[in-house]
Amino acid sequence: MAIFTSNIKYPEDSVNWFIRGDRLCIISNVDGDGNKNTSARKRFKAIQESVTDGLLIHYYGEPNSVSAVTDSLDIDNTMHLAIVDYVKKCLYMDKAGVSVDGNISAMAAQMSKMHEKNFNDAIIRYGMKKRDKTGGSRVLKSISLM
Amino acid sequence: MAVHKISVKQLISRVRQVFPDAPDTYILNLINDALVEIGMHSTKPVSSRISLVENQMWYDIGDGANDSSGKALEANKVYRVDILDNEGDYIQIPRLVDKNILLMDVFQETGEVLSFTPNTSTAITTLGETGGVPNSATGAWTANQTHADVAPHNVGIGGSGADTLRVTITTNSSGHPKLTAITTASLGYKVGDYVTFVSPGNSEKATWTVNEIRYTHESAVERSD
Repeated sequence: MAIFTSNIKYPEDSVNWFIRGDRLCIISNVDGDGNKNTSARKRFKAIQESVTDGLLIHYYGEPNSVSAVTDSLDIDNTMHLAIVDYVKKCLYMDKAGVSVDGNISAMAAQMSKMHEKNFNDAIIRYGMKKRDKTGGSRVLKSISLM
Repeated sequence: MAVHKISVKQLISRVRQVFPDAPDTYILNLINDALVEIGMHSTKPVSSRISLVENQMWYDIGDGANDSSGKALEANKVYRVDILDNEGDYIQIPRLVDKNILLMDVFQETGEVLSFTPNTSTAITTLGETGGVPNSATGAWTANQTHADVAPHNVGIGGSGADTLRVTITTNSSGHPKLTAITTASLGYKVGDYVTFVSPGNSEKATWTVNEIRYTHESAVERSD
């Protein structure tokens, strides 16, 4: 038994959520005693009781920023090399932009493209596969006897 | 055997193999840009608790929002919400997908004042202003005092607050007033209101700005006509 409880017996049937902008909306059709709290006009109302730690939300968060060379990266280690690619991509782009030698500039632009592709592949294309902790076979396929 | 990770220092050293003159600060900025970009691709699953408030329909999940322990949420995309049931277990609740046809009575302007600027750990140190100037006092209050249940002298720009608001104000040895607690809340305030309190000791005035309010009147989602 947890320390905190609400009066809602079947939240999956009586409480809904949605998001508008930067705000999470929690609506319910029961009152603070768990009884129906709707009218012909009003289908949902705000929660009718205060509950400490009453909501548990699961979300994808933003990694913490770094501010010193002694900091650690706040993402899975499978993504660390992608950050090296991102930084090099930007630095090569800078170099391509300021170099007076056309050959160096062209080579730097090409290197920038290569690191950009590495970053995009690591994060956008294969990011979920890299981070996913689920193991084992993804599909069980029986042999066709036909 | 420990998992291999790259520290920021190691990352910079890898970059320096090719760009020996790249400044640390610039590389740190680029790393942070990369982290923002990576954060947009569902890479850091987090779970946090938020306290339910009676009659509150909207819960802030923006960049400045905190969970119930005061830790920053830093949420990008919410994919699941659980709520406590009557047995103390968290039960997943469904997301309302078709929300566009619903009318919502949620855009009230005023509510119950929750906090002020400066906050409860910061004294007002700007003295000598005329009354009503936010975050300042007309002069030093009587030093080293604790004034309980101080009522507001007036509410400033745009304010229409009911006067049930009572606060505790302490002063330090320099007579700088610090609003340390809201002892009785009051409806009728909105964010940005200036609230002036008068020193019970020497009648000097100090003005705080309403920083946060709780919307307390009933909110509801209605059937569309």
